[in-house]
Order: sequence, then structure tokens, then C-alpha cells
Amino acid sequence: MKSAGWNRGSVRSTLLRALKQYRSALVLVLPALIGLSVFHLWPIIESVRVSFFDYNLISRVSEWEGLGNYTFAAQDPLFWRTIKNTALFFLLKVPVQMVLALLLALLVRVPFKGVGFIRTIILIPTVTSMVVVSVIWGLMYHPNSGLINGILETLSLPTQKFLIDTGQAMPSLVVMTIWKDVGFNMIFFLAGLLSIPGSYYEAAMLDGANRWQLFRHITIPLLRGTTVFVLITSMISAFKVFTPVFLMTKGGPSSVTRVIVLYIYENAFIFNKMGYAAAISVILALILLIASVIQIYFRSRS
Amino acid sequence: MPKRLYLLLILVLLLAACAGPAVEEPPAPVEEPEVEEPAPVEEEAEPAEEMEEEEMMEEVSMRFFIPDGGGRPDGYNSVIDAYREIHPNVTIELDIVPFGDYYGQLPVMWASDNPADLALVDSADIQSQAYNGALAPLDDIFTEEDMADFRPGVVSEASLDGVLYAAPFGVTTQGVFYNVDMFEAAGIEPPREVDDAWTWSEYIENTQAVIANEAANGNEDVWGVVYLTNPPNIDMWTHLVVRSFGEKDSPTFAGISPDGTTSAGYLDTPEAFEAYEFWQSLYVDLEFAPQATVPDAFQTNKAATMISFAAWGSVLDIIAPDLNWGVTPLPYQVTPITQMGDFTPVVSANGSQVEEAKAFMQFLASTEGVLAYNAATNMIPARISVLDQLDAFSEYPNKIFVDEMIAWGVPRPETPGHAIYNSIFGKMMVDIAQGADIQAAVEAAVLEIDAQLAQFE
Repeated sequence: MKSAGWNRGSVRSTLLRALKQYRSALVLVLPALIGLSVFHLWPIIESVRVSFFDYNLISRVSEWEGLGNYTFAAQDPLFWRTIKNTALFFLLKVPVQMVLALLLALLVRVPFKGVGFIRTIILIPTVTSMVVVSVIWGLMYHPNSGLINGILETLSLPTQKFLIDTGQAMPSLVVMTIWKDVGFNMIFFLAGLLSIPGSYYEAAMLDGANRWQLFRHITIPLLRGTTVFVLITSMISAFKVFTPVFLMTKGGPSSVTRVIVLYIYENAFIFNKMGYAAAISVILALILLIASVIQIYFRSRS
Repeated sequence: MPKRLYLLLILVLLLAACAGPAVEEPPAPVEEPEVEEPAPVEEEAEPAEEMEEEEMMEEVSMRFFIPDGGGRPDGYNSVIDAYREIHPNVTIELDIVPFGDYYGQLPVMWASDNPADLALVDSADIQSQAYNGALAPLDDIFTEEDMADFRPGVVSEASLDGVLYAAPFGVTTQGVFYNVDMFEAAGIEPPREVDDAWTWSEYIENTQAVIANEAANGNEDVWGVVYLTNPPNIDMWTHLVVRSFGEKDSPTFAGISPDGTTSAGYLDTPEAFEAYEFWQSLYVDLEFAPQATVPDAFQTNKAATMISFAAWGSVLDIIAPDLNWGVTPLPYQVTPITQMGDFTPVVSANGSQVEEAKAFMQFLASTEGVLAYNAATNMIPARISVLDQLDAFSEYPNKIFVDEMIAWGVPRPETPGHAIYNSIFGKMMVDIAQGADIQAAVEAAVLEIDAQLAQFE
């Protein structure tokens, strides 16, 4: 008992000391914590709760469903199709985007005349609204009067259908989103490259390493942390894709671009199945969580 | 300071965390409306007009949620002004939502703790909104005389299980707007009477002749037909083509089962497939219509015709005053058809001033209200007696829309899941127009529609 009392007292005094030491910091972060709780944490908790109900948004009638929405998802072919479409979008987009981002980072790492201008040009799409970008690229992809087909015609090349062709719609979306997001990934790779000490390269060069060996044995291993971070954030971003799909294809043609978040939107606001939409959201969050944990695990092992 | 400040901040945090969930138990479950007494119309209307005088003189402030465009803000403001002359204590503010945001914002508005007192709902979606408990019944504000004066198709769309949930107010139908200069140059005069309406093949043949004449005169790349969006993705435009391929009482013409829950056997009939093949040929084989939206094509002489709604003429007069346009009735295949429908006023069941809103609704749908609206904006009234008082609808071109309504007008397929039906069917028609395999597209759409509509069985 004496020991327990001593421990309690010790913990209490430690806590009080910590509170005293960090009270200014706590006061400063409190508004952000409140915002995070109200606008992020609470909706997440609510989504999980609603996923166990059959909830009608308009009437607000909600009936307990248990795991009904989850078992329905497991048997819903449309759900699996949207998962497949989203995975395809991720597989087509993220590897290409990461390689391009790394190459661009390598290009603008070395100071030369005009590097600031090139960095700005690469970053402009990143800071432009996705809505604006989607509308403009939608016009550029127009099969009859779009800029891209205009260029193809000028070059005497066959015109393409882009967004209205089942084989071209997804790649067309991927190209546009890579153009939009590659600058954002480049920033992280650039920061990673600049954090590698120059002495490593100097030592390797003294040992006779060529450029490829420098890149292969110094740059890539030391960028592993950055690469995992970029991969995780890009994967989350790819699985959450919605705006360009909603504005440019509405999931068509023939549902080839119907991605998971669009399906969540349809269930929530068109099919009026808020509980099912919440269940799919939770499944999506779990998929991303598991994938992120796996990536972090392999990174820490290596 | 610190202790009190911390306590205050912790209290705020706790309050925020304990705030009521977005999803609450409903105030009352949605109940099936009474069906034993279909359309229970009172002998004498006992509207809110009979509210206590002192109650009526209290300041009343209401909100009216409407989509922008079509002259609606002007029209409803005109009615509100007329109402305020009789009830100066009532203020009605229009919540005007951009048209593109309207369909997304409407369910969110209904779900809020403070929904608008009045709203406009696409007539085909009234049953859906009523089914979900968003709308107040309006049977008690109209007399038998009123009900007999309303156009039956409009009343049918505004009712669920025999209970009226929207005020029969206006109707819109569709027609073919054509470029008069182009057709005159080709020596073609489209019909002006519904009895002389072209069939689809006559319409295409004549319009192709116009396009060929334009090309010969240097105006290349003229489309045969365009819609507001291309290919159209809502059943207002697309379903009338499919339904026209069926006989009047056929499943193809009906488009959905009588209980509004099954599309198999209605959207996948041999006649419907014939219609889908025709629809695809317009876009793929004939290249008569564009597979993606061409902005302002009709107004800029890049389309010979445009299929649109009755009020489009007023819009054209504003956005393209130099365009010489005319109207010809909708083409048909087997059965002539126009689909009636419009944004229709409803009263929110969960609003705080249901009785006051119903009193305004009664005025809105009265002869006086309809005339006040038409003083600002042209609208084909749902009241048969008022239509006769409006000269604009007895003359070309408006007469065509009215004649179509009287001779051919039917509501869109009636189902409490119309928004779902419309969304899936609309996407299917876009896919077909863009060259999808018809059999696969129709099978997938029918499967999905029926799976979703099963919730209304």
C-alpha cells in the first residue's frame, strides 16, 4: 500500500510538472485540438457508429443493422468492382508519379540558372484547384473540339476519344492527376535529397564510384524513409480520388472509372443508404490503415 | 489565470465532444400514409386562412429553397409580393441555390435541423421525398373543385398512395427548337401542329438535308441535335425516346412496374432494345449528335436543332437575341409522347411553420397566384381554368407545348426511387450513346436499378 501510494504521488507530481512545463504549449495547441476533435475525430466515430445502422438521411430513421452493411458489401459486386477500379487507378498512377517526382527532384536539386523558375512551373499544378484542373482537362480531352485532338489532327495523327472510351478513360484520368500531383511528391524527394550529406558522395567518389553507383548505393537507400512516406501519402490520395472522376466521367463510360469514393457518394446521396456508405468508408479506411502498417513494418525491418 | 482558463478550455472541449451526434433518433418514424381513403379531399377547404386573426397578424418569416434559373426567382418573388399585399405580416425569403448545386444540397437541406419551410422539388422526385418523410401532406388545403381543375398527370406525380404532397402548380413539356434560317435555306418547313409531328426518321432525314445544305454553303460541322448536356443523362430527355418505341399500354411505354419497384420486363423489352439501337445510331453511326457536350452549339449555329423544355424560348431570347428560332413538336416512333414535369412547390414536414407554409401554398396554387407568377415568367399552369386565361399559350410557339401536353402528356415513370432510377438509367443512356455494348449495358442497369428499388417493396 505504501509503495502504491508512493507511486501515485510520483505519477501525480510528474504529471503536474509536465503540465507546468508545457502549459503554454498546451494552450497554444488547444484550439487545433478542439478543431481536430470536432471536425475529424467526431465524424470518424460517427461514421463507424452509423455503419452499424440502416440510416435514412432525409427521414433520419435509423434501424440497427449490426454487421449487415458489412456482409452486404462482401457480396456486393459493384463494391468489388469499384475497389478493383480504384486499385487500378492506384497502380497506374502512383509508381509512374513517384518515378517522375524523383527524376524531377534530381533535376532541380542542383542549382543552375533558371532552377527557381522550373521549380515554380512544376509546382503550379499542385497549388491549382482540382476542380479548375478537372474542368480544363475535360475540355482538352473533348473528342470533337479538344486541344489534344486538335494537336493530333495538326500532326496528321488519328484523333482519340479519351474520356468516352472504355479503354482510354482511366489512363486519361491518370495522366491528368499525375500532372497535377507530381510536384507535390517532388517536394518531399527534394527535401530528402538535400538532407543526404555531401560527404557520403565525396567518399564514394574517392573510392571510384560512378554516377549510377552513387545513385544506387547512396541516394536510393538514404531516400527509403522519404519513399515510404511518399508511397503511403500517394496511396491514400489515390484511394480517395473523387473530384476529377465526378467532374470528368461521373464513373463512366460503362463504370470503368467508378471508383470507391464515388460509390460511397452515390450510396449516401443518391441511393439514400447512409449506413451502407458509412460501412464502405470504414472498410476503405481499414484497407488504407493495413496497407500503411505493412509498408511501415517493412521499412522498419529493412 | 491559468487554472480558470484551463478549466474553461477543458469545459469547451468537453462540450464540443459531447455535442449531439449528426445522426439522431428521428422525432417520429416515417409511417406509411393512409391509403384507405384515396385523395381525401375536404368538401370545404379549411386552410390556414381560418387561423385566428391575431395569430395571422404575428410576424411570420419563412424560407423558400429553390434552384436558380428558368425565371423561377422572378416568378416566385412576384407571387410573394402578391401574397404580402394580403398578408403583410408574412415575409418569405428565397434561398436561391445555383442549379448545379441544387440536387446535392436538397437532401442535406432536408436532413438539417432547420430545413426550409418551402422548397421546389423536381416533380418526378416528389414521391421519393414523400416516402422519406420530408414533405407535409397538402390534401387539406385544396377543395374538390381545385382538384378537378388540376391537370390529372400533375396530380398523379405529386401524390403517393393517394395523398397529395405538392401543389400542382406548373407543367413543362419538351419540343424541338430549330434554326429557322438553316431550315429555310434548305427549303424545309417543320410542322407546327402536333397532329403533323414528324416521326424520328422524318426528323432525321429532314435535318440531315439541312446539315448537308449548310456544309455546301461553308458551314461545316453542324450537329443535327443537341441537348443542354450531351449526351443527356436524365430521363426527362432520354426516356421519352425509348417509351415512344412502345404502344401506349405496353411495358416499354410504362418504363417501370405499376408498383414502381421493377424495371426488368420494362426497360429490356424488344421494343426498348430497338430504341437503344436507334439512340446509339444517332451518336455513333449517323454522328447526328455529339458524344460530349458542345457548349452553346445551338446558339452559335453549330446545331440545326435542340430538344429542350418549354421555357427555353424565353432563355434563348435573352442569351441569343439575334438567333431566329422556331419550334416543332417532338418526333415519335410508335406512340407520340411528351413527359410532363417541373419543379413543384412543397411544404417541409419538419419545418417550424407548417401551417403558415401551407397557407402560402394554397395562395400559390390559386388562380391569383398562378397569374402573379405568369406576370413575371411564362409557365404552363397546372390549373386547366387558368391556362385558358393566358393568351401566350394559345399562340405559336407556346401553343405547341400546350397541345403536346394535352394530347400526349404523361408523367415520367412513377416510383418512390425515381432519383435512383433516373441516375442509373441516365448513365446507361450515356454509355449507349458513347458506343457501349447495348446488351451488357442494359442488363447491368436493370440489375442495379432493381437491386436498389427493392428497398421500396
